[in-house]
Amino acid sequence: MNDNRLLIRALRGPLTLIVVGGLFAIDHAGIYRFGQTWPVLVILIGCLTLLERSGNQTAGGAQ
Amino acid sequence: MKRHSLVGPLLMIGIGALFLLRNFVPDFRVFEAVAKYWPWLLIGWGFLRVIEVLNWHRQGLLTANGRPGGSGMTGGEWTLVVMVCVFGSIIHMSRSADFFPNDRIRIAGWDLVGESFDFGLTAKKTGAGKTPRVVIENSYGDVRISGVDTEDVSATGTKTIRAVGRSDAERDDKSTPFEIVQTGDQVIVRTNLDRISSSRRVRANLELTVPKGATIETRGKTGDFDIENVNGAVEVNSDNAGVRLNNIGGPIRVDLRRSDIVRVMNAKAEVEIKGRGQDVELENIAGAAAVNGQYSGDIKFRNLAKPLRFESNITNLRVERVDGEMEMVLGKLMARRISGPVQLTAKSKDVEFSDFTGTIEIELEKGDIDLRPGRLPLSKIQARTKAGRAELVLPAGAKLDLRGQTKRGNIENDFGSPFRVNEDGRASAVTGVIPGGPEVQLDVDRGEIRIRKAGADAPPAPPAPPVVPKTPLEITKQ
Repeated sequence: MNDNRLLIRALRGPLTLIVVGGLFAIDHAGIYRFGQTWPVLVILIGCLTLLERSGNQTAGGAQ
Repeated sequence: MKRHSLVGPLLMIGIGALFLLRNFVPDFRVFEAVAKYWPWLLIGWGFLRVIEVLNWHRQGLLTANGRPGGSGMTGGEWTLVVMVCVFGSIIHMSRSADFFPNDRIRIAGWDLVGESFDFGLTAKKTGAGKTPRVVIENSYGDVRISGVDTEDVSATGTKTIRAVGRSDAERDDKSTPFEIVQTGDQVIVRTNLDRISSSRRVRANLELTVPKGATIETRGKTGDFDIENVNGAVEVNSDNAGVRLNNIGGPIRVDLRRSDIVRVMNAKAEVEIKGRGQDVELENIAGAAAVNGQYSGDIKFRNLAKPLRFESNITNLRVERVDGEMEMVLGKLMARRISGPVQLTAKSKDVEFSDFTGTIEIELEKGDIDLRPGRLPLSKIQARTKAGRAELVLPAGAKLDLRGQTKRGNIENDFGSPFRVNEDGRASAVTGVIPGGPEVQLDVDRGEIRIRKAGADAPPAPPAPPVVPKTPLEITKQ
Protein backbone atom coordinates (compact mmCIF):
# COMPACT_ATOMS: atom_id res chain seq x y z
CA MET A 1 0.00 0.00 0.00
CA ASN A 2 1.24 3.39 -0.96
CA ASP A 3 2.06 5.96 1.69
CA ASN A 4 0.34 8.85 -0.10
CA ARG A 5 -2.78 6.85 -0.55
CA LEU A 6 -2.92 6.10 3.15
CA LEU A 7 -2.43 9.77 3.95
CA ILE A 8 -5.24 10.92 1.68
CA ARG A 9 -7.55 8.27 3.01
CA ALA A 10 -6.78 9.30 6.57
CA LEU A 11 -7.32 12.96 5.72
CA ARG A 12 -10.67 12.35 4.03
CA GLY A 13 -12.66 12.27 7.27
CA PRO A 14 -11.16 15.37 8.91
CA LEU A 15 -11.39 17.43 5.70
CA THR A 16 -15.05 16.48 5.28
CA LEU A 17 -15.63 17.53 8.87
CA ILE A 18 -14.01 20.92 8.29
CA VAL A 19 -16.13 21.54 5.22
CA VAL A 20 -19.34 20.48 7.01
CA GLY A 21 -18.51 22.90 9.83
CA GLY A 22 -17.68 25.63 7.32
CA LEU A 23 -20.96 25.20 5.46
CA PHE A 24 -22.94 25.42 8.70
CA ALA A 25 -20.99 28.51 9.73
CA ILE A 26 -21.83 30.11 6.35
CA ASP A 27 -25.47 29.13 6.87
CA HIS A 28 -25.60 30.72 10.32
CA ALA A 29 -23.92 33.87 9.07
CA GLY A 30 -26.85 34.20 6.68
CA ILE A 31 -24.80 34.17 3.46
CA TYR A 32 -25.86 30.90 1.81
CA ARG A 33 -28.16 28.32 3.34
CA PHE A 34 -26.95 24.79 3.95
CA GLY A 35 -29.79 23.64 1.71
CA GLN A 36 -28.06 25.44 -1.16
CA THR A 37 -24.44 24.53 -0.44
CA TRP A 38 -24.55 20.82 0.47
CA PRO A 39 -23.48 19.57 -3.02
CA VAL A 40 -20.02 20.91 -2.19
CA LEU A 41 -19.70 17.95 0.19
CA VAL A 42 -20.42 15.41 -2.57
CA ILE A 43 -17.88 17.08 -4.85
CA LEU A 44 -15.28 17.09 -2.08
CA ILE A 45 -15.69 13.40 -1.30
CA GLY A 46 -15.55 12.61 -5.03
CA CYS A 47 -12.31 14.59 -5.44
CA LEU A 48 -10.67 12.93 -2.44
CA THR A 49 -11.60 9.47 -3.69
CA LEU A 50 -10.17 10.33 -7.09
CA LEU A 51 -6.94 11.59 -5.50
CA GLU A 52 -6.66 8.41 -3.49
CA ARG A 53 -6.99 6.28 -6.64
CA SER A 54 -4.48 8.32 -8.63
CA GLY A 55 -2.02 8.08 -5.72
CA ASN A 56 -2.40 4.34 -5.98
CA GLN A 57 -1.74 4.32 -9.73
CA THR A 58 1.39 6.45 -9.62
CA ALA A 59 2.76 3.93 -7.16
CA GLY A 60 2.72 1.36 -9.94
CA GLY A 61 -0.91 0.47 -10.23
CA ALA A 62 -0.29 -2.85 -8.54
CA GLN A 63 -3.10 -4.08 -6.33
CA MET B 1 0.93 0.78 18.72
CA LYS B 2 -2.16 2.55 19.85
CA ARG B 3 -2.52 6.31 19.75
CA HIS B 4 -5.46 8.15 21.23
CA SER B 5 -6.73 11.36 19.76
CA LEU B 6 -6.57 14.65 21.58
CA VAL B 7 -10.10 15.59 20.56
CA GLY B 8 -11.94 13.89 23.44
CA PRO B 9 -10.04 15.57 26.31
CA LEU B 10 -10.03 18.95 24.54
CA LEU B 11 -13.80 18.74 24.09
CA MET B 12 -14.22 18.18 27.83
CA ILE B 13 -11.92 21.11 28.65
CA GLY B 14 -13.91 23.33 26.26
CA ILE B 15 -17.29 22.42 27.74
CA GLY B 16 -15.99 22.96 31.27
CA ALA B 17 -14.51 26.34 30.34
CA LEU B 18 -17.77 27.40 28.72
CA PHE B 19 -19.80 26.80 31.87
CA LEU B 20 -17.13 28.28 34.10
CA LEU B 21 -17.25 31.41 31.96
CA ARG B 22 -20.99 31.59 32.42
CA ASN B 23 -20.65 31.39 36.18
CA PHE B 24 -18.13 34.20 36.39
CA VAL B 25 -19.26 36.46 33.53
CA PRO B 26 -22.98 37.01 34.17
CA ASP B 27 -23.67 38.52 30.75
CA PHE B 28 -22.33 35.50 28.94
CA ARG B 29 -25.13 33.35 27.55
CA VAL B 30 -24.03 29.78 26.94
CA PHE B 31 -27.10 28.84 24.98
CA GLU B 32 -26.78 31.70 22.54
CA ALA B 33 -23.05 31.22 22.09
CA VAL B 34 -23.58 27.55 21.32
CA ALA B 35 -26.40 28.35 18.90
CA LYS B 36 -24.20 30.75 16.98
CA TYR B 37 -20.76 29.24 17.06
CA TRP B 38 -21.23 25.46 17.16
CA PRO B 39 -20.06 24.97 13.52
CA TRP B 40 -16.65 26.25 14.58
CA LEU B 41 -16.43 23.27 16.90
CA LEU B 42 -16.57 20.98 13.85
CA ILE B 43 -14.02 23.08 12.01
CA GLY B 44 -11.61 23.06 14.95
CA TRP B 45 -12.12 19.36 15.44
CA GLY B 46 -11.34 18.72 11.76
CA PHE B 47 -8.17 20.79 11.85
CA LEU B 48 -7.00 18.98 14.96
CA ARG B 49 -7.44 15.64 13.21
CA VAL B 50 -5.61 16.89 10.13
CA ILE B 51 -2.65 17.86 12.29
CA GLU B 52 -2.73 14.53 14.06
CA VAL B 53 -2.91 12.59 10.79
CA LEU B 54 0.01 14.56 9.32
CA ASN B 55 1.98 13.87 12.47
CA TRP B 56 1.30 10.15 12.31
CA HIS B 57 2.21 10.19 8.64
CA ARG B 58 5.57 11.76 9.39
CA GLN B 59 6.28 9.19 12.03
CA GLY B 60 5.18 6.43 9.66
CA LEU B 61 2.38 5.32 11.95
CA LEU B 62 -0.38 5.23 9.35
CA THR B 63 -1.72 1.74 8.77
CA ALA B 64 -4.39 0.47 6.44
CA ASN B 65 -6.79 -0.33 9.26
CA GLY B 66 -7.11 0.21 12.97
CA ARG B 67 -5.76 3.22 14.76
CA PRO B 68 -3.87 5.28 14.01
CA GLY B 69 -4.61 5.48 10.35
CA GLY B 70 -7.63 4.03 8.60
CA SER B 71 -10.02 6.71 7.53
CA GLY B 72 -8.83 9.25 10.09
CA MET B 73 -12.23 9.31 11.73
CA THR B 74 -13.87 6.40 13.49
CA GLY B 75 -17.51 5.43 13.17
CA GLY B 76 -18.15 6.57 16.72
CA GLU B 77 -16.78 10.01 15.90
CA TRP B 78 -19.04 10.33 12.88
CA THR B 79 -22.04 9.49 15.05
CA LEU B 80 -21.00 12.24 17.44
CA VAL B 81 -20.61 14.67 14.52
CA VAL B 82 -24.11 13.90 13.27
CA MET B 83 -25.49 14.43 16.78
CA VAL B 84 -23.68 17.76 17.11
CA CYS B 85 -25.11 18.86 13.74
CA VAL B 86 -28.66 17.89 14.68
CA PHE B 87 -28.58 19.51 18.13
CA GLY B 88 -26.73 22.57 16.87
CA SER B 89 -29.30 23.10 14.12
CA ILE B 90 -32.20 22.71 16.54
CA ILE B 91 -30.73 25.20 19.02
CA HIS B 92 -29.94 27.61 16.21
CA MET B 93 -33.46 27.41 14.82
CA SER B 94 -35.05 27.95 18.20
CA ARG B 95 -32.83 30.98 18.84
CA SER B 96 -33.56 32.62 15.52
CA ALA B 97 -37.27 32.26 16.28
CA ASP B 98 -37.89 30.22 13.16
CA PHE B 99 -39.50 27.84 15.59
CA PHE B 100 -42.64 29.88 15.91
CA PRO B 101 -44.64 30.12 12.74
CA ASN B 102 -46.07 33.51 11.85
CA ASP B 103 -43.25 35.28 13.58
CA ARG B 104 -42.11 38.57 12.20
CA ILE B 105 -38.45 37.66 12.38
CA ARG B 106 -39.18 34.81 10.02
CA ILE B 107 -40.60 37.21 7.49
CA ALA B 108 -37.41 39.24 7.79
CA GLY B 109 -35.46 36.07 7.03
CA TRP B 110 -37.57 35.48 3.95
CA ASP B 111 -36.60 38.85 2.59
CA LEU B 112 -33.33 37.25 1.54
CA VAL B 113 -35.06 34.99 -0.96
CA GLY B 114 -36.76 36.14 -4.16
CA GLU B 115 -37.84 39.64 -5.03
CA SER B 116 -40.65 41.69 -3.64
CA PHE B 117 -43.34 43.29 -5.76
CA ASP B 118 -45.70 45.99 -4.54
CA PHE B 119 -49.30 46.41 -5.60
CA GLY B 120 -51.43 49.39 -4.68
CA LEU B 121 -54.74 48.79 -2.95
CA THR B 122 -57.72 51.12 -2.92
CA ALA B 123 -61.37 50.46 -2.22
CA LYS B 124 -64.31 52.43 -0.95
CA LYS B 125 -67.80 51.67 0.24
CA THR B 126 -70.06 54.71 0.25
CA GLY B 127 -73.16 55.04 2.34
CA ALA B 128 -72.14 52.62 5.06
CA GLY B 129 -74.12 54.62 7.59
CA LYS B 130 -73.13 56.48 10.71
CA THR B 131 -72.65 53.44 12.93
CA PRO B 132 -71.61 50.49 10.76
CA ARG B 133 -69.92 47.40 12.02
CA VAL B 134 -66.59 47.14 10.22
CA VAL B 135 -64.83 43.79 10.10
CA ILE B 136 -61.21 43.76 8.92
CA GLU B 137 -59.68 40.48 7.83
CA ASN B 138 -56.02 40.85 7.04
CA SER B 139 -53.85 37.89 7.95
CA TYR B 140 -50.44 39.43 7.33
CA GLY B 141 -49.63 43.11 7.61
CA ASP B 142 -50.30 46.26 9.56
CA VAL B 143 -53.65 48.00 9.72
CA ARG B 144 -54.30 51.60 10.70
CA ILE B 145 -57.85 52.71 11.30
CA SER B 146 -59.09 56.15 12.12
CA GLY B 147 -62.60 57.42 12.61
CA VAL B 148 -63.62 60.59 10.79
CA ASP B 149 -66.84 62.49 10.08
CA THR B 150 -68.09 60.45 7.15
CA GLU B 151 -70.51 57.71 6.18
CA ASP B 152 -68.03 55.90 3.96
CA VAL B 153 -65.52 53.21 4.62
CA SER B 154 -62.44 53.75 2.48
CA ALA B 155 -59.11 52.04 2.37
CA THR B 156 -55.74 52.54 0.74
CA GLY B 157 -52.66 50.46 1.12
CA THR B 158 -49.92 48.35 -0.35
CA LYS B 159 -49.74 44.64 -0.91
CA THR B 160 -46.23 43.23 -1.02
CA ILE B 161 -45.75 39.87 -2.66
CA ARG B 162 -42.48 38.03 -2.57
CA ALA B 163 -41.99 35.92 -5.67
CA VAL B 164 -39.36 34.73 -8.12
CA GLY B 165 -40.68 36.79 -11.03
CA ARG B 166 -43.20 39.50 -11.81
CA SER B 167 -45.60 37.12 -13.57
CA ASP B 168 -45.77 34.91 -10.48
CA ALA B 169 -46.38 37.95 -8.31
CA GLU B 170 -49.14 39.18 -10.61
CA ARG B 171 -50.85 35.80 -10.56
CA ASP B 172 -50.75 35.86 -6.77
CA ASP B 173 -52.08 39.39 -6.74
CA LYS B 174 -55.07 38.33 -8.85
CA SER B 175 -55.88 35.38 -6.63
CA THR B 176 -55.95 37.59 -3.53
CA PRO B 177 -58.44 40.31 -4.44
CA PHE B 178 -58.86 43.20 -2.06
CA GLU B 179 -62.50 43.91 -1.40
CA ILE B 180 -64.94 45.78 0.77
CA VAL B 181 -68.36 44.14 0.86
CA GLN B 182 -71.47 45.18 2.71
CA THR B 183 -74.14 42.90 4.13
CA GLY B 184 -76.79 44.74 6.12
CA ASP B 185 -75.01 47.17 8.40
CA GLN B 186 -71.86 45.05 8.39
CA VAL B 187 -68.96 46.12 6.19
CA ILE B 188 -66.22 43.55 5.61
CA VAL B 189 -62.75 44.62 4.50
CA ARG B 190 -60.90 41.58 3.22
CA THR B 191 -57.42 41.06 1.77
CA ASN B 192 -57.89 37.30 1.13
CA LEU B 193 -54.19 36.67 1.65
CA ASP B 194 -54.90 33.18 2.96
CA ARG B 195 -55.87 32.07 -0.54
CA ILE B 196 -52.30 31.67 -1.76
CA SER B 197 -49.88 29.24 -0.24
CA SER B 198 -47.99 30.70 2.66
CA SER B 199 -44.67 29.63 1.15
CA ARG B 200 -44.84 32.76 -1.00
CA ARG B 201 -44.88 35.51 1.53
CA VAL B 202 -47.44 38.24 1.23
CA ARG B 203 -48.29 41.19 3.37
CA ALA B 204 -50.80 43.96 3.08
CA ASN B 205 -50.46 47.23 4.93
CA LEU B 206 -53.75 49.09 5.06
CA GLU B 207 -54.97 52.51 6.05
CA LEU B 208 -58.65 52.80 6.65
CA THR B 209 -60.97 55.66 7.44
CA VAL B 210 -64.31 54.71 8.92
CA PRO B 211 -67.30 56.64 10.25
CA LYS B 212 -66.68 57.91 13.78
CA GLY B 213 -69.50 55.83 15.22
CA ALA B 214 -68.22 52.55 13.78
CA THR B 215 -67.75 49.34 15.67
CA ILE B 216 -64.52 47.60 14.72
CA GLU B 217 -63.58 43.97 14.67
CA THR B 218 -60.22 42.84 13.33
CA ARG B 219 -58.80 39.40 12.62
CA GLY B 220 -55.16 38.87 11.78
CA LYS B 221 -52.25 36.53 12.16
CA THR B 222 -49.22 38.80 12.03
CA GLY B 223 -49.16 42.56 11.95
CA ASP B 224 -49.90 45.60 14.05
CA PHE B 225 -53.18 47.36 14.63
CA ASP B 226 -53.40 51.09 15.23
CA ILE B 227 -56.90 52.34 15.84
CA GLU B 228 -58.00 55.82 16.89
CA ASN B 229 -61.00 58.10 17.20
CA VAL B 230 -63.68 55.43 17.07
CA ASN B 231 -66.79 55.67 19.22
CA GLY B 232 -68.01 52.09 18.93
CA ALA B 233 -66.68 48.89 20.42
CA VAL B 234 -63.29 47.64 19.27
CA GLU B 235 -62.29 44.02 19.16
CA VAL B 236 -58.81 42.95 18.08
CA ASN B 237 -57.93 39.30 17.50
CA SER B 238 -54.52 38.21 16.30
CA ASP B 239 -51.88 35.55 16.68
CA ASN B 240 -49.08 38.06 16.87
CA ALA B 241 -49.55 41.81 16.91
CA GLY B 242 -48.62 45.09 18.41
CA VAL B 243 -51.81 46.94 19.29
CA ARG B 244 -52.15 50.67 19.85
CA LEU B 245 -55.56 52.12 20.54
CA ASN B 246 -56.28 55.75 21.19
CA ASN B 247 -59.48 57.62 21.89
CA ILE B 248 -61.99 54.78 21.78
CA GLY B 249 -65.58 55.29 22.91
CA GLY B 250 -66.87 51.74 23.19
CA PRO B 251 -65.72 48.70 25.12
CA ILE B 252 -62.36 47.26 24.03
CA ARG B 253 -61.41 43.63 23.80
CA VAL B 254 -57.92 42.60 22.75
CA ASP B 255 -57.19 38.91 22.36
CA LEU B 256 -53.67 37.99 21.28
CA ARG B 257 -51.45 34.98 21.38
CA ARG B 258 -48.26 37.01 21.22
CA SER B 259 -47.56 40.72 21.28
CA ASP B 260 -44.69 43.11 21.66
CA ILE B 261 -46.89 45.91 22.95
CA VAL B 262 -50.51 46.56 23.81
CA ARG B 263 -51.17 50.21 24.48
CA VAL B 264 -54.61 51.65 25.18
CA MET B 265 -55.02 55.38 25.79
CA ASN B 266 -58.11 57.47 26.37
CA ALA B 267 -60.79 54.80 26.47
CA LYS B 268 -64.23 55.78 27.66
CA ALA B 269 -65.52 52.28 28.43
CA GLU B 270 -64.14 49.03 29.77
CA VAL B 271 -60.95 47.42 28.51
CA GLU B 272 -60.19 43.73 28.44
CA ILE B 273 -56.81 42.39 27.38
CA LYS B 274 -56.00 38.73 27.06
CA GLY B 275 -52.92 36.94 25.83
CA ARG B 276 -49.22 36.81 26.30
CA GLY B 277 -46.48 39.15 25.26
CA GLN B 278 -44.21 41.87 26.48
CA ASP B 279 -45.37 45.40 27.27
CA VAL B 280 -48.82 46.54 28.34
CA GLU B 281 -49.75 50.18 28.84
CA LEU B 282 -53.11 51.53 29.89
CA GLU B 283 -53.64 55.24 30.34
CA ASN B 284 -56.73 57.36 30.97
CA ILE B 285 -59.28 54.59 31.07
CA ALA B 286 -62.78 55.53 32.22
CA GLY B 287 -64.15 51.97 32.44
CA ALA B 288 -63.07 48.87 34.29
CA ALA B 289 -59.82 47.32 33.12
CA ALA B 290 -58.96 43.63 33.08
CA VAL B 291 -55.59 42.27 32.01
CA ASN B 292 -55.19 38.54 31.86
CA GLY B 293 -52.14 36.61 30.76
CA GLN B 294 -48.37 36.38 30.83
CA TYR B 295 -46.40 39.55 30.07
CA SER B 296 -42.64 39.69 30.28
CA GLY B 297 -42.01 43.38 29.62
CA ASP B 298 -43.07 46.57 31.35
CA ILE B 299 -46.64 46.81 32.49
CA LYS B 300 -47.87 50.33 33.17
CA PHE B 301 -51.17 51.65 34.35
CA ARG B 302 -51.94 55.34 34.60
CA ASN B 303 -55.08 57.13 35.57
CA LEU B 304 -57.66 54.36 35.72
CA ALA B 305 -61.01 55.59 37.03
CA LYS B 306 -62.60 52.20 37.60
CA PRO B 307 -61.32 48.98 39.17
CA LEU B 308 -58.33 47.21 37.66
CA ARG B 309 -57.94 43.46 37.65
CA PHE B 310 -54.63 41.89 36.70
CA GLU B 311 -54.18 38.15 36.60
CA SER B 312 -51.17 36.12 35.56
CA ASN B 313 -50.02 32.74 36.74
CA ILE B 314 -47.88 34.31 39.46
CA THR B 315 -49.66 37.55 40.28
CA ASN B 316 -53.21 38.39 41.17
CA LEU B 317 -54.05 42.03 41.69
CA ARG B 318 -57.16 44.09 42.21
CA VAL B 319 -57.08 47.84 42.61
CA GLU B 320 -60.10 50.05 43.06
CA ARG B 321 -58.64 53.05 41.30
CA VAL B 322 -55.28 54.20 40.00
CA ASP B 323 -55.16 58.01 40.23
CA GLY B 324 -51.44 58.11 39.78
CA GLU B 325 -49.47 55.28 38.26
CA MET B 326 -48.60 51.69 38.74
CA GLU B 327 -45.74 49.86 37.12
CA MET B 328 -44.69 46.22 37.04
CA VAL B 329 -41.25 45.31 35.80
CA LEU B 330 -39.52 42.00 36.36
CA GLY B 331 -40.23 41.10 39.95
CA LYS B 332 -41.12 44.63 41.01
CA LEU B 333 -44.44 46.34 41.54
CA MET B 334 -44.44 50.05 42.19
CA ALA B 335 -47.50 52.20 42.66
CA ARG B 336 -48.04 55.82 43.51
CA ARG B 337 -51.37 57.42 44.28
CA ILE B 338 -53.69 54.43 44.15
CA SER B 339 -56.95 53.89 46.00
CA GLY B 340 -58.02 50.76 47.81
CA PRO B 341 -59.35 48.31 48.40
CA VAL B 342 -56.20 46.80 46.96
CA GLN B 343 -55.70 43.06 46.97
CA LEU B 344 -52.44 41.54 45.86
CA THR B 345 -51.19 37.99 45.97
CA ALA B 346 -47.92 37.18 44.24
CA LYS B 347 -45.28 34.50 44.23
CA SER B 348 -42.22 36.68 44.06
CA LYS B 349 -42.40 40.45 43.89
CA ASP B 350 -40.93 43.47 45.60
CA VAL B 351 -43.86 45.73 46.32
CA GLU B 352 -43.66 49.45 46.84
CA PHE B 353 -46.85 51.42 47.44
CA SER B 354 -46.67 55.11 48.18
CA ASP B 355 -49.22 57.82 48.72
CA PHE B 356 -52.18 55.45 48.77
CA THR B 357 -55.58 55.47 50.43
CA GLY B 358 -58.03 52.72 51.22
CA THR B 359 -57.50 49.25 52.59
CA ILE B 360 -54.52 47.23 51.45
CA GLU B 361 -54.13 43.47 51.49
CA ILE B 362 -50.83 41.99 50.37
CA GLU B 363 -49.72 38.40 50.45
CA LEU B 364 -46.32 37.44 49.05
CA GLU B 365 -44.43 34.17 48.92
CA LYS B 366 -41.23 36.10 48.58
CA GLY B 367 -40.34 39.76 48.28
CA ASP B 368 -40.06 43.04 50.14
CA ILE B 369 -43.01 45.19 51.07
CA ASP B 370 -42.61 48.96 51.24
CA LEU B 371 -45.63 50.93 52.38
CA ARG B 372 -45.70 54.73 52.53
CA PRO B 373 -49.25 55.88 53.04
CA GLY B 374 -48.93 59.54 52.24
CA ARG B 375 -52.41 60.67 53.13
CA LEU B 376 -54.42 60.54 56.33
CA PRO B 377 -56.53 59.01 57.71
CA LEU B 378 -55.04 55.55 57.34
CA SER B 379 -57.14 52.54 56.38
CA LYS B 380 -56.75 48.93 57.31
CA ILE B 381 -53.51 47.33 56.12
CA GLN B 382 -52.73 43.65 56.09
CA ALA B 383 -49.33 42.81 54.64
CA ARG B 384 -47.66 39.45 54.74
CA THR B 385 -44.47 38.08 53.18
CA LYS B 386 -42.91 34.71 53.82
CA ALA B 387 -39.42 35.87 53.00
CA GLY B 388 -38.48 39.50 52.73
CA ARG B 389 -38.46 42.83 54.49
CA ALA B 390 -41.50 44.86 55.46
CA GLU B 391 -41.20 48.59 55.88
CA LEU B 392 -43.88 51.01 56.97
CA VAL B 393 -43.30 54.74 56.77
CA LEU B 394 -45.91 56.62 58.74
CA PRO B 395 -46.77 60.26 58.16
CA ALA B 396 -46.89 62.59 61.11
CA GLY B 397 -50.23 62.51 62.90
CA ALA B 398 -51.09 58.97 61.78
CA LYS B 399 -53.52 57.06 63.96
CA LEU B 400 -53.32 53.29 63.97
CA ASP B 401 -53.32 50.05 65.88
CA LEU B 402 -50.05 48.44 64.84
CA ARG B 403 -49.27 44.75 65.11
CA GLY B 404 -46.11 43.60 63.46
CA GLN B 405 -44.36 40.30 63.90
CA THR B 406 -41.52 38.37 62.35
CA LYS B 407 -40.74 34.74 63.08
CA ARG B 408 -37.07 35.13 62.27
CA GLY B 409 -35.59 38.58 62.11
CA ASN B 410 -35.13 41.93 63.76
CA ILE B 411 -37.51 44.80 64.18
CA GLU B 412 -36.31 48.34 63.88
CA ASN B 413 -38.55 50.97 65.38
CA ASP B 414 -37.45 54.43 64.33
CA PHE B 415 -40.88 55.87 65.03
CA GLY B 416 -40.41 55.48 68.76
CA SER B 417 -43.27 55.45 71.22
CA PRO B 418 -45.97 54.34 71.50
CA PHE B 419 -44.65 51.33 69.56
CA ARG B 420 -42.73 48.76 71.55
CA VAL B 421 -40.53 45.93 70.30
CA ASN B 422 -40.54 42.59 72.09
CA GLU B 423 -37.95 39.97 71.26
CA ASP B 424 -38.56 36.32 71.90
CA GLY B 425 -35.68 34.16 70.75
CA ARG B 426 -35.36 34.67 67.02
CA ALA B 427 -38.88 36.06 66.74
CA SER B 428 -39.80 39.67 67.35
CA ALA B 429 -43.00 41.64 67.58
CA VAL B 430 -43.88 45.31 67.55
CA THR B 431 -47.16 46.61 68.90
CA GLY B 432 -48.65 49.91 69.84
CA VAL B 433 -51.78 51.99 69.52
CA ILE B 434 -52.27 55.60 68.56
CA PRO B 435 -55.99 55.75 69.37
CA GLY B 436 -58.59 56.40 66.71
CA GLY B 437 -56.99 54.53 63.82
CA PRO B 438 -57.47 51.27 61.89
CA GLU B 439 -55.67 47.99 62.32
CA VAL B 440 -52.31 47.72 60.59
CA GLN B 441 -50.83 44.25 60.46
CA LEU B 442 -47.38 43.28 59.21
CA ASP B 443 -46.47 39.59 59.12
CA VAL B 444 -43.05 38.33 58.11
CA ASP B 445 -41.87 34.74 58.33
CA ARG B 446 -38.22 35.40 57.60
CA GLY B 447 -36.91 38.95 57.40
CA GLU B 448 -36.95 42.22 59.22
CA ILE B 449 -39.59 44.85 59.89
CA ARG B 450 -38.92 48.57 59.97
CA ILE B 451 -41.22 51.28 61.23
CA ARG B 452 -40.24 54.80 60.24
CA LYS B 453 -41.52 58.32 60.44
CA ALA B 454 -42.05 60.24 57.21
CA GLY B 455 -40.11 63.50 56.82
CA ALA B 456 -41.99 66.51 58.29
CA ASP B 457 -45.09 67.79 56.45
CA ALA B 458 -44.77 67.31 52.71
CA PRO B 459 -46.96 64.33 51.88
CA PRO B 460 -46.63 64.27 48.08
CA ALA B 461 -42.85 64.51 48.10
CA PRO B 462 -41.24 61.09 48.43
CA PRO B 463 -39.70 60.64 51.84
CA ALA B 464 -35.97 60.19 52.09
CA PRO B 465 -35.21 56.75 53.49
CA PRO B 466 -31.53 56.21 54.18
CA VAL B 467 -31.22 52.91 52.33
CA VAL B 468 -32.81 53.15 48.90
CA PRO B 469 -33.50 56.55 47.35
CA LYS B 470 -36.90 56.59 45.68
CA THR B 471 -37.81 58.74 42.72
CA PRO B 472 -41.28 59.17 41.28
CA LEU B 473 -42.09 56.81 38.45
CA GLU B 474 -41.30 58.02 35.01
CA ILE B 475 -43.47 57.05 32.10
CA THR B 476 -41.25 57.80 29.18
CA LYS B 477 -41.59 54.65 27.11
CA GLN B 478 -42.81 55.22 23.60
